[in-house]
Amino acid sequence: MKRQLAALAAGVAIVVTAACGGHAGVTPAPAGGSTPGNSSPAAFEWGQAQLRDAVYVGPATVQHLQVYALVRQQNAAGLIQYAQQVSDPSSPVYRHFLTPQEIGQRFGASHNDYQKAAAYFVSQGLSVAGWPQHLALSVSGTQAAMEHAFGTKFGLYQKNGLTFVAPIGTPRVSATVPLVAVTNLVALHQEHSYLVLPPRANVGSTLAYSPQQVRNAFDYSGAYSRGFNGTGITIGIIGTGPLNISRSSLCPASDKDLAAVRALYNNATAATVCEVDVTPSGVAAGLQISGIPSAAPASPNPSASPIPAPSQSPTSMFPFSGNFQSPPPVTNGDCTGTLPACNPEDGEAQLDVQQSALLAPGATVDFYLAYNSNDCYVFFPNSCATPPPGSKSGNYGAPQIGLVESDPEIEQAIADNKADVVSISYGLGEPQEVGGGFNSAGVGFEPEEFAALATEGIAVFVSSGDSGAAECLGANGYLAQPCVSWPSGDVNVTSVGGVNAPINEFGQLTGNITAWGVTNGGSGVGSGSWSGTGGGTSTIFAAPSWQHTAVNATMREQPDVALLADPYTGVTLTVNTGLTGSKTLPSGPTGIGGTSVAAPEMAAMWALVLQACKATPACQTGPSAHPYRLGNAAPYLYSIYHGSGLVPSASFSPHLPYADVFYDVLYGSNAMCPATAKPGVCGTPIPGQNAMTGYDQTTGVGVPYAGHLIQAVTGQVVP
Amino acid sequence: MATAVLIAAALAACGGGGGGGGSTPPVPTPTPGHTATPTPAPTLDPYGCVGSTPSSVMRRPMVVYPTAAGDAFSYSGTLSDTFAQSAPCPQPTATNDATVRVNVSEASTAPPAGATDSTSVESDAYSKQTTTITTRQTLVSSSTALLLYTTSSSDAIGNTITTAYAAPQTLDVLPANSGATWSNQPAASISEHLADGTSISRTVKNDGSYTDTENFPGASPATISVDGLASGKPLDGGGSYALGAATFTYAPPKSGNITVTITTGTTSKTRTFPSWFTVPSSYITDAFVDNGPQSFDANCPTAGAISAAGDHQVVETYQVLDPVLGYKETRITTSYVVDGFGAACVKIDDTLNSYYDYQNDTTKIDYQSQNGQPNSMDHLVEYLGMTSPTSPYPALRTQSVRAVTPQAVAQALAAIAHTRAVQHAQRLRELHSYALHIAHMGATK
Repeated sequence: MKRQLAALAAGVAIVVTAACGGHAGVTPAPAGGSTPGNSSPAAFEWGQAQLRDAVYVGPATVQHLQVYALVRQQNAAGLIQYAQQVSDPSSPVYRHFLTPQEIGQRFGASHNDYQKAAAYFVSQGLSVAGWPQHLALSVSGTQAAMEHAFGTKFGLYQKNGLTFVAPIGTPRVSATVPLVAVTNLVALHQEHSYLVLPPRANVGSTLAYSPQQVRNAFDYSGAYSRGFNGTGITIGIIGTGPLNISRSSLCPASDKDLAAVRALYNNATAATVCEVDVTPSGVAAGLQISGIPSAAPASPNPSASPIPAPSQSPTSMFPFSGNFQSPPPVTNGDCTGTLPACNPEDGEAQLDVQQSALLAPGATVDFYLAYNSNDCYVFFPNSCATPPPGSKSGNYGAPQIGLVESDPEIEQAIADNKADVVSISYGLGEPQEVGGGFNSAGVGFEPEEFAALATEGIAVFVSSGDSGAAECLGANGYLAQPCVSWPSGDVNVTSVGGVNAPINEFGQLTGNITAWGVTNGGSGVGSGSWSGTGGGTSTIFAAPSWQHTAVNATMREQPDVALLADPYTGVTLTVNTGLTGSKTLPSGPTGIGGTSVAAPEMAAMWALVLQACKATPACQTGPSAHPYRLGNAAPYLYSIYHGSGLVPSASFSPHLPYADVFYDVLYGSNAMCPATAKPGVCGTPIPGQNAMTGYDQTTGVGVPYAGHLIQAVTGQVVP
Repeated sequence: MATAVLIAAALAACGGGGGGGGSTPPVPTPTPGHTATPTPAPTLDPYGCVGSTPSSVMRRPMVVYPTAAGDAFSYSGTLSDTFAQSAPCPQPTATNDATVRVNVSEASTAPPAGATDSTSVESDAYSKQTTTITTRQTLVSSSTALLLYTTSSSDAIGNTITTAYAAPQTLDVLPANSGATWSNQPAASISEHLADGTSISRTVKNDGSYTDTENFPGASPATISVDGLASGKPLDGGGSYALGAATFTYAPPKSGNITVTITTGTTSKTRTFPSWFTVPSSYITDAFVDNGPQSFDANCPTAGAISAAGDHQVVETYQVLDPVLGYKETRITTSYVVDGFGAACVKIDDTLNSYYDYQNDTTKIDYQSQNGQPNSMDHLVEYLGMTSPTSPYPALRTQSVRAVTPQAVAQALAAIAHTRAVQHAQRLRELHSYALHIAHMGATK
């Protein structure tokens, strides 16, 4: 392990040099001062690769910064490996799920390292939050304190139309501080939601598919008829922004938009929704400590909150909570201004909640949201207001508050270990995450987060993206190059692509299910936008064994499975109920598409599977506290696809053949027209993948039907 | 239980009472569109029974009387749904197969007097899921005809469609007679309450023209008017769809082309495309013929004691042309009626050709055929074979006045009718959505 880290550090130094020398037109100020900590500097991954092609535009005066520090792990590679084994029926540790504490003890940072890193940042006047899995620390504080802690000034840069903060010099800390990487020092957030507005969205109507139609189209209704509606299962949503809820009660939360869409559709049943805020108390709950102040100090004073002695319990070592706060109520449908006065509801968040809640009506939906009023610096310096010249507005780069804080939301979900299924509907081009969540070798704290979720037995479903074969975005839309999305391509999640499915009011098919792409519904009439299901081959991550065996993949291919996404048919989303100032989405119901629809639909379907597993003694065999959990869903989907021969183990054998569970999509492509092409005039397309018999990189193994998926996995007969 | 049924049946058959089966069947008023040429009814014995002793030899023409409360029939078979798309992007042809079970039960109801409330539950088990549609029909039978007054169907998610016919529909002419032909006129009031809160009211006239009002949740009401209605003029093949500020006006075919004018406010634009139909005398036709004894279709799933040949082959041809929603449907139902059993085998062949795309079948909303040929075709073929009763009713019901009617044929049809009705509703939804878009963007966008 030490050898590996040393090699990584050496590689980092080279990259840093190259990156800093590659700042086009940059004349940065010199790196500030000596190495903090009065020791030889330590090299760590800090996101320098993301500065490639960025333009320095001047010094930053953002006042507040927040980063994530990946502390030296005891066995990071072991965590990744364990996560895959725990979902592999042929492994001796199959379904031996771990608690967050066990993850921390076996794979995460050691108690001493975690405490040492935290102590360093606290000594620098920064605020720290941690979680029992000991993967990363959330570190926040003033710009001055951060600059001092990392020995560099920060400047403003522009790239791909985004203005962001990044170090001017090479960040460094004492070698005694056991850091492997620090993300968000380069605060270039290119993640974006995967929802697509249909051309009719702006008129407001309920003319997209109703929940009743979707339920019958993919046989959720068949599962309901057997009592499998998600009861007893918790679905976690990694929030991209605030919901329009009453703040007086977070669990159950009074979601005004969910109530509105239910009322529209004959009081359709829906899951109980709870909002789980990453707040001081939330972090405290994750750490299983009490007595934490309800609000974190704006400028924590180390002397007033001394670092606990090493002898203290590791769960009580962090009296700080970062600068996470309880979110204020949403104020607008959309707005420009500063937080908290301008706190628009997030359509993506509401979409994820509605789809999962309406399709798993017996489940509980835990909506994770981390809120930090200082986050606006990420987009536009110190404000959510008008972006600087050259910045893009709209969904790409808009202030989606929760999306910026998705990492602490995931950390909190790991720490809570309560959600059985997690849905994520955002991402960015895989190469564009290099230097952020992972390095060019795919090593970093974000893959560890997903590994931790899988190690707890949690199934994670992630949208595969909406830009077809070209998921890397530039200043003028997606780039004309093959590119897959992250984190849908992580080896410990299930990637969910999108289809067009023509159905009637009963949800019966009236035509072929096709891959969602520019040849069938991917072009946004009137909007000039092109869209299609994300899919392709990773250039970084090797194929996991279950995918290699089933489809002979050498590098990770995605998506793994597909559900509704085409905005032309769309599903109904209700947002901004009672709010004014709407710009992007109208108040009330509207149609919506994108793989942001498909991921929560799949999460809801898997919740039904887990409920059935819970009710099946032969399935509920996991030796953990969650014996009904199955870990990552993808290996099971590929096992069904491949038949019983995929996993040579008696632990799991599909109870139904592939053709009885999945619709094999045979038509469609995710080739993309150039981003600048006008509607109906494609020009030379960016090559993509075609749907075909069996697995393909547009719809994976196909479109699942809930009832038979339950039967295939658990043996519970659903007609 | 079987003994009780036998006794009850026998009592009902010959005792003139019990279960309503012995009451005198109502004699319906002749249907306006009824062009049957029935043979004379046989002479009844003093007890109103047909035949005095059970016989293994079925007499022709058979006399069919209504079923009664408590009667039950079962069918099983297959359903194959094939979808083909040639434009704008040719797609691979796909087939979705299912096994089908239909259970029919009878109960008394009123009004009309003497009516039977016939409920059928059809379950279609596809490889990936099972769907269920329940249909209730109000039927009245006499010695001369089996008549359908209303049909109500609902599916598992709560879409309910109710049709009340202006004049009863003749499902069969009694006694069965080879060579008989008859037809029905389609005038009806149709009420659709969909699971998502949508309500649609439609009035159909005898020439198949119709007007309807649609109320989609959260949207303004809209209307469709397919010509020939209000003015009573002959059909000319046109129609309109109106939603507030947006109107789609479909001109009759002219010089081989159809022109649709889309108007928002004072702005209009037109689209012209090849004609795909000639103006019919009626947009909806429903015709029957009794072809007499015929061997079963080779795919008929027959069972047990039921012979492989029908004493009567009754063929219904039902056709719909919708010039606004842009489709033609042809449904041919072939029933093999066996004495003592009724409709022992049924084949339903339903083809829906779509020339416009208001359901994203081609994934290009409002895409009109560019060559007069359908953009897509949805072809349903269903075979149903009777599985119970397994013995001829006359053998079970000594001297029974009752035998099995072919009404289960209509029941089986109703499930497909429901499927097509909710498909029609989905097209309306898409057209409505498109009209909203046009209204918002302006017709010239």
